[in-house]
Amino acid sequence: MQILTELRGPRVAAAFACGGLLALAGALMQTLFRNPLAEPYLLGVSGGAGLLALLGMAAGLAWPWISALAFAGSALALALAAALGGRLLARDHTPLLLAGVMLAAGFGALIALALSVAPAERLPGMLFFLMGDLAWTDRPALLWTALLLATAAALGLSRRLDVLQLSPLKAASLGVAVAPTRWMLFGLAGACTALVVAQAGSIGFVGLMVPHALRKLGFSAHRLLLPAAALAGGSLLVLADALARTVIAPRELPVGVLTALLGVPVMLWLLRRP
Amino acid sequence: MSLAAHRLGLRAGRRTLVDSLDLVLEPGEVLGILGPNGAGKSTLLTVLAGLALPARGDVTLDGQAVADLPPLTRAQHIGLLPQGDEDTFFGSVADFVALGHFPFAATQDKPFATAQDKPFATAQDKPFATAQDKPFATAQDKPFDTAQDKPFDTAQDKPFGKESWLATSLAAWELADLAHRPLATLSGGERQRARLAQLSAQRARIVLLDEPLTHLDPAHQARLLEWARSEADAKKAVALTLHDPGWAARQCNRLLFLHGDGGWKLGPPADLLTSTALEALYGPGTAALWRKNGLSEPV
Repeated sequence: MQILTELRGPRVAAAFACGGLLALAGALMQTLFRNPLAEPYLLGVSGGAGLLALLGMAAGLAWPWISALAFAGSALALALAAALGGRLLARDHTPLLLAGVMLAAGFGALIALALSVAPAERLPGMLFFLMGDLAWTDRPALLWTALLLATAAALGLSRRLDVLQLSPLKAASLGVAVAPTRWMLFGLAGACTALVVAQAGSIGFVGLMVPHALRKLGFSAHRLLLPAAALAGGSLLVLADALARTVIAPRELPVGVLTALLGVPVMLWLLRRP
Repeated sequence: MSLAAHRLGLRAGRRTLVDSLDLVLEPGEVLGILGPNGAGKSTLLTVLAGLALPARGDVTLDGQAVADLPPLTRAQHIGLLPQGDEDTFFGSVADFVALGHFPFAATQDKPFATAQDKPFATAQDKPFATAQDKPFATAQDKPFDTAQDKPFDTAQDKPFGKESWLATSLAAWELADLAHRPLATLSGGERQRARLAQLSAQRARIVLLDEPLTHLDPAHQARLLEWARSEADAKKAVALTLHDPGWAARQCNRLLFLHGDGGWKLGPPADLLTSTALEALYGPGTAALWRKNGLSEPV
């Protein structure tokens, strides 16, 4: 009983919230960039978080500090992307996209550097963080609060997001303030992602696959897509985490490995649908 | 009740495209805008729509600067069909057309309104059957007439108001049978009709169309001009850019030639569609080129 309430319960709750936040962030990013292949880590959020977290681990810091460093790294990446590429967001999202992708590449190189010079005994922990691991999460209540608030905020924008699927000029002609709305999307998706990364590392694939699959299944209106993404993303991560804990028990796999292993076949099957 | 450009100057980089243009777009008219590629036709429409600022001069709607209007208010009055939207839209044709209603829906925002869930409930039954038969005669006249009298009437506030608008807009562009199809599966011409239907659903009284004839087959090109005229008859103002100095241009009440070097000419088609004026517009020798390639000379 104690195991259930003190260990399993909070972890399942955290897994659901993380999955929901990632899928929600992915859906928002796909609308921001008008691209079904956009995902939460597109702008270097995971890279920035990973780099600072790894530096913290290499210095031997304890978890709460690493979590804080990861959050700071995400914020840094987002701020850099916005500063470098955000000028023309009312018209064109490409500069922001390019700035983000470049930053992600740069952070990736620095992460590889950090891994190659890190002390060997710290490597497994670092790799788990980079692949995403729910063993560290210690704030399920915070994650849930964020999930509920973010879903509500995103739903409030849902009509505008429907219109933002059109070209920026057409959206503006229909009365949407394109740049402010896009910045809201950027901030909301960025905050959701940064929070998850700070709690569980870079869990891949949920944020890309869940919203994309839902769109394919016919959830096109945002007022349906966004809550559905939160639900499906949460469920997927709970399932993946359960498997990650049991497949090679008593050892655990990084949950990011499982999300990809579960997600890839589903995605390939969906792509074959007419 | 009109859109007016005063001493308008448009530039692209250092190049002056349009210089000191004075233009009043009157209700009841169809204005055709012609000019060579890159002459500033699209820029002019964007500026008239209040979505970009001119290098000089100003654009006013009933005396108010369009660029200063609140976005939703502006969208309730001015509609724009931009050129070549690469729409990455996942929804159905009906969902796409319904977005034209946004300026009205957004002002009474109810994110969870159920009306949207089944836009076809009624659309399916009657409106289409009858509208289909004479799409342009009936489908148009009535709704636009009433819309004109009280543009922001309450009918649209009720769910049924919107659904009938959706049905009318779909029917007017012969999209009733395609309403459930994903937009992405439509052909280029069908998608252009969906964009036009979306614009119809916006019910703006200033209608700005950037190359609306693109992708349309000859029958739908003729229907487009017919629609533009019916809009004008409903006391709306229509401006469209086009590349046909022949029959299409002759259907307009007035023409605006943009030379691309700052120069422009404004007048009735009969005055402007002359060999001299067209060669001045498109370049010397154009008429001979048309003749040589079997294109009947437009004049």
